[in-house]
Amino acid sequence: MGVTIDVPYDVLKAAKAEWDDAADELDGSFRRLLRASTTGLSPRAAAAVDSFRGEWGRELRARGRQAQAYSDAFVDTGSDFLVTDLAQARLMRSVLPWTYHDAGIEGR
Amino acid sequence: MAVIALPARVGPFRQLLSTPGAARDLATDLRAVTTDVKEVQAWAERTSGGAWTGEAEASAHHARTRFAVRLDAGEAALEHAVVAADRFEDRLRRLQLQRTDLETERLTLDRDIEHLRAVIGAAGAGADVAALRRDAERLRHRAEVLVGDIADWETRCDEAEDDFVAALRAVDTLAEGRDAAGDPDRPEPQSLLLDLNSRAQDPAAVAAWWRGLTRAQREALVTEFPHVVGNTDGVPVADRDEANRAYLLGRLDHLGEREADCQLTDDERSELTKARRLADLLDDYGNRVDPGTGDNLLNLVGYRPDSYSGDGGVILSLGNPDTAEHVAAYVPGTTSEGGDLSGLDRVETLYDDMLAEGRGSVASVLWLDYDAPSADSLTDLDELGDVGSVVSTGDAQDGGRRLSDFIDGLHATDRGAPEDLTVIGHSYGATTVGYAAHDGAGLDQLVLLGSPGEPTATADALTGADVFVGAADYDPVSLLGLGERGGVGALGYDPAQADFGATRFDVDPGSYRVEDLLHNHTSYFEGTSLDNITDIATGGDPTVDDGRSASGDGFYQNLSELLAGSSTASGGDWLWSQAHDVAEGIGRSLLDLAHPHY
Repeated sequence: MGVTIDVPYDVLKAAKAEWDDAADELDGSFRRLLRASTTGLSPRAAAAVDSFRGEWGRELRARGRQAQAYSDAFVDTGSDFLVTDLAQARLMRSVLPWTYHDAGIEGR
Repeated sequence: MAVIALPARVGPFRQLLSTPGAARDLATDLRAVTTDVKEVQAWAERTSGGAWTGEAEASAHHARTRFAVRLDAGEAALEHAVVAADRFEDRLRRLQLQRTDLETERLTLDRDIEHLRAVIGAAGAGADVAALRRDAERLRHRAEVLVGDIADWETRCDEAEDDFVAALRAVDTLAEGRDAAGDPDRPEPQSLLLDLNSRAQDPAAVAAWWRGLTRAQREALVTEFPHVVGNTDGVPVADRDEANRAYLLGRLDHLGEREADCQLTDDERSELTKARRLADLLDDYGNRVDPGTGDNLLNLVGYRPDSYSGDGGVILSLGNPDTAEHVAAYVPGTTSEGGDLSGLDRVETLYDDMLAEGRGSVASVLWLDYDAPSADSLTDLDELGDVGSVVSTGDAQDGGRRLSDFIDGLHATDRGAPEDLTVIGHSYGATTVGYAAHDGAGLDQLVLLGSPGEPTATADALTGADVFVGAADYDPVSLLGLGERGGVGALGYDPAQADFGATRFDVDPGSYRVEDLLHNHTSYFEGTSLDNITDIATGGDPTVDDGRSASGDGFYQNLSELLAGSSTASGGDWLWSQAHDVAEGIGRSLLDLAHPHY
């Protein structure tokens, strides 16, 4: 049994691309935060920077991976999006713009 | 024998534990990270619901909304970190200047103590002991004051470190980030942007409004809308620099990721190439500081990579025009593109020479924020005789208006005594600055180098500023403007004419060989010409030459005569005939003439 989600193809396609862009952007942010230099700062100031970027570097990396996972959830077959089960349909719907938050999901 | 007690020498004291440059580099990176995160967060938030619209329960299951909320915590934490790093940098810079003063006083005091010791040692029986004791007492008092000042300075150093560390630690957990996101005092960039945009046409109003913002409000705007802040006239140069660096680094990160994913479009690849070149340039100047302010020497005052059909617009400044006493702004001509930063060499040469004059603090600006013809149509001269069909005044007029706005912005953000502003245009850039002057730009001196034409027939009609002209006798481009002995006139009047009424200063006439004519057009930042430009830009007097005229001392060869004569000098009838064709507008290029093997 397959599942359909009542959202236009172009919306799904755009959502996939946008989540992919978001993942790229956050990955770039994470990398820049990670390599921000502390040379020339006192050991105490450098330690505070390390603590800060440790926490938020992990967070940005996690959000970047999450964004990539959301993008990957949209399996584009070229002319349609493959939705394998109800859980995946709900995930796809929940990462679409709010306008589509109650789009219909049907088994077939 | 009388005893005179001298104070102990004040020993060396500590250096700054953290340097301002390190804090600046950290702030720059944090701004770029914040800019990127804000872009993603804003995208997610725009298309979210619930938490932002009041439908909280429904949105609890909406992953995009949860994502936006979660990312907002990181964004808020980063905002705090940027403000903390920026404040830290400012405090360290002040502390560094204070340290320099303290160290100077320490060394002076040491010398004075040793001097008095020598005087006492050499004193004979008749020495004025009371006077020597008074001198020693004065030194002791100075030493006590200095020791106290050093202790205060060290305390302020510790406080600056403490505050920076505390500020970062206040937002280094997710829970603290969430608290920061929910802080009712958190600046609202969108409403600040509306305020900024409502004043954008009035640089003085922008400057006054900007001065009233808190540091957190400024940083919120800079990191949320770096592209806007960095290119708004009336925002101080230092803040524009921070915004543009954040935007540049953010674009590098974004485009670098797309490159790694093999997703770059041709336009993006071009932007990335130019952005990397610019970033490398900024890195090259990373350790150089403005001797007047201690700030970084090179400022990115404008950055529009997507303007002018992808050529991009860039404004760079060596030194800070807001604080410098003498400011020179250089507008290159037709070979200018955002990715072509070779004009910075001239700007740096001028900066060094202006500084060496010792007439006060200086700044030298490269202004490339207009759509100059991408190829040098004035010197790639299939079109020399028919220049009007290749190059029009349209871009010069548009550029002139933009330059005029930029100059208004510089005046609005100027601090201290009013700056002495010299605007220098070369080639098509000379036409552009002419239009800016005619538009009413508030400049003190206008310098026109190798001008192909100006919009008015006289200097008085052009501007109320002092107008100076550099026009080499054998620069063919400078002969394009209308004058007593002809001229193409497509771009206006020749400002080197005596009846134009400008001051024509001495420049090397150049080589009278046809293959060197193009070089003559690009040699104004050398030798006598450069000396005179430097004098003009620092309040000195240049050495003066006669203006061009149809007779007398100012008699000159017109374009046809120059091309024919220099061709003959270079090699004979064949060259002469080609030169004649060019002069008649038939269209042989000077490059062809210079390189007949083509």
